[in-house]
Amino acid sequence: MKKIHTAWTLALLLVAASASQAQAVDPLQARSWAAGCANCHGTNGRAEPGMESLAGVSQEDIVKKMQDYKTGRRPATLMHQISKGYSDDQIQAIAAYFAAQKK
Amino acid sequence: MRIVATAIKGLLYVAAALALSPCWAQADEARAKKIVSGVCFVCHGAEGESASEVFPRLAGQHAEYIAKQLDNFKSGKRKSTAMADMVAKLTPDEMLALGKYFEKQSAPVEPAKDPALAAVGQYIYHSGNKFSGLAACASCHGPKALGTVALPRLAGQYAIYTETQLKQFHQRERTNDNAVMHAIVSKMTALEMAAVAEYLSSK
Amino acid sequence: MKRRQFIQTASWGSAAGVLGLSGCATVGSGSGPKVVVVGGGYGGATAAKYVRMWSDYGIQVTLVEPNASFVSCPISNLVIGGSKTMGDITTPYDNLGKRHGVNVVRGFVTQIDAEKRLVKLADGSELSYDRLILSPGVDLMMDTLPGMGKSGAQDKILHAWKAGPQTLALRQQLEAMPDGGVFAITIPLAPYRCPPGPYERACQVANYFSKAKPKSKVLILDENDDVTSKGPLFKKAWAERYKGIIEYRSKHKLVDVDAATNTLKFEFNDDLKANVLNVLPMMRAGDIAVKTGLATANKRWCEVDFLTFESKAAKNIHVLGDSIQVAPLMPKSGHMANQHGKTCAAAVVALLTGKQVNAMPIYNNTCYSFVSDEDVVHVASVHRYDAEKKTMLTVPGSGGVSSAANELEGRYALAWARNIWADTLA
Repeated sequence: MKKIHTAWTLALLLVAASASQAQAVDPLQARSWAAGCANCHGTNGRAEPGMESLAGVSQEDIVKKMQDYKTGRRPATLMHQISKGYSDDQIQAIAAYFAAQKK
Repeated sequence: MRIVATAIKGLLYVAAALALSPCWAQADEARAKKIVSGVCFVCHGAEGESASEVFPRLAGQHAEYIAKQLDNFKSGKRKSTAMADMVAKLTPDEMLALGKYFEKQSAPVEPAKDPALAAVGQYIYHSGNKFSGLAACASCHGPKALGTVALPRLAGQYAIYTETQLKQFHQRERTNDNAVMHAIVSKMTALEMAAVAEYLSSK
Repeated sequence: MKRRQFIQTASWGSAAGVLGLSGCATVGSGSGPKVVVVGGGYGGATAAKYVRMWSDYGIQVTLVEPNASFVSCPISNLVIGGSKTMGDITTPYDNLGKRHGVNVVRGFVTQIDAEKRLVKLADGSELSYDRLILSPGVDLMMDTLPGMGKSGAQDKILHAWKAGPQTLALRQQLEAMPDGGVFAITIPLAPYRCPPGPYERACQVANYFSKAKPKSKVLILDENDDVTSKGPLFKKAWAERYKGIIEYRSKHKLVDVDAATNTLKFEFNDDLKANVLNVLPMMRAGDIAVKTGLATANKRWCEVDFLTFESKAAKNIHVLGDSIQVAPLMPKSGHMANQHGKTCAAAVVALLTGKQVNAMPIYNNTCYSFVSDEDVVHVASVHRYDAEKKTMLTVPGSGGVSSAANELEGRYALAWARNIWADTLA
């Protein structure tokens, strides 16, 4: 009896921990947020010449760049101003969306 | 007759170059300044000092090396999505003018953030690693890391940039100047790359 | 289904079959829900494309637009300045049909029956809808200036505030103007379409004059108390680049225009004559929105629900772009209309397919202004939904303007144009 009790507790703790960490963003919501970037970076992040594409770029790379813009570590003409409007969670979700797009 | 004709031609060219060079030099510098203050300054700083470690310092770099990199960015020989757009309209004259402009600039060098790591880097830079067969960087890039006309100055460059370039030479993501550097870097450990970069940033 | 519409639908269906639209539901196949979009500008064209894309091509979309091609107002000031051509700012509507199966109808909407959910066109045809998206731009209220109602006045005194033939015509007026002449532009009280637009135009004309007609002048007669967008940056550009050419006068309320003598009449200031007049009158939502009773704010702008852009005055009708009663600090810009289009498209698709509407829309705006033919300044902002106030608010700490005009931003501005045109129409 004791063994089963401990196992269940552990399982519940794990579920609780992962639920609080991964605030699962509705993929359609992430898609809508990411669409706000298309004006400069192209539909689904596939940019026309003159601007960097985001489609297929790793989530890690996009998040890092956005964080660098946010902190001022990376100078920019306006991305530092735009990045500060988005929360870290939103940036993660948007970056994940673009990472999954075809180049 | 032909030899004389060629010699006279040659002399005329030299004379023209000498006569025009101060004017050219001024026009060059003005043109370079306009381009830098219009485009390059955002990332590399108005004098190539680059206030952010994310973008490389250009101040004090060899003119021919800069011109070559710009040319390689334009042709795609050196892959960079960001730089390709920036240089698309540059002419060879402008590339050299920019190189000359940056070569004249200087940027203050800060002491290493991690002196112990820099000390490791100093050893590697000057002596290489005889245990792994790694040649000393100084043997090509010079004892003061000032480089040559053909090789870049490394002294004073941001550690992160230098380290990233070394990693990219290793992965062949740095697509130009790769022949020798790939062989060199394949003998370097991650610690050695970080150490050398740290050392050079304070030189 | 009305007979005309059936024929229209059937012919589109077979045309689509012939074209072999792959990956899109055949246009007009009669089964899925129907969306009609009125206005093929930055708001409407974007909404049409995204409703198709985001419904996996299951929702039928008909876009009604009177013009043959999309002509962009942003960058049109450079045509007036002489560094770009009309071709540079014109994009056909073809790809909306070819790539996304939008049924693009060249026509003009004269009436909306909100009860029957019918849209009536000038040629007598009708379109039924499940959801209607209106993006009719602005109506320039020329009737607030009695003299502009006289015969021929509006052909001579241009606004060029809807890109197209007037853009080229204004350029031609400037080319014909003798050196030493005066170009005068009048600006109405905010809100109006494109806050920085008139000041950018002044820069473009001054830039042209400085090269071709150096003795000429540019007069800005602004009803507002001060420059409404990027004030310090524009004033710096005027002082440094166009000294002696541009003169800015605030608090000038235009009350009438005499087209015969090219005279501007103001409420409190003396009359002014100029060689080329560019009059921007008071503006309001596009005519069809006003006629349909949707302009609930001061009878000029349409109030909407910012989650869905549904009109507060009529069910199943959504309003986008310049026509809406904006949220605080939200500009009337093409960039913003495109963002409205996407937000609305997501909501309409959700509503028509029984899914959740996004409860937290967030999007940004960037307006680039050319102070010369190469150097640009920008203003950027990020807007996020506030559930308590039920509106979009700018995110504290975000947004801003350029520190100075520069060529790099000029390149980004042109890249922005290429990308937003593709996002809207390709």
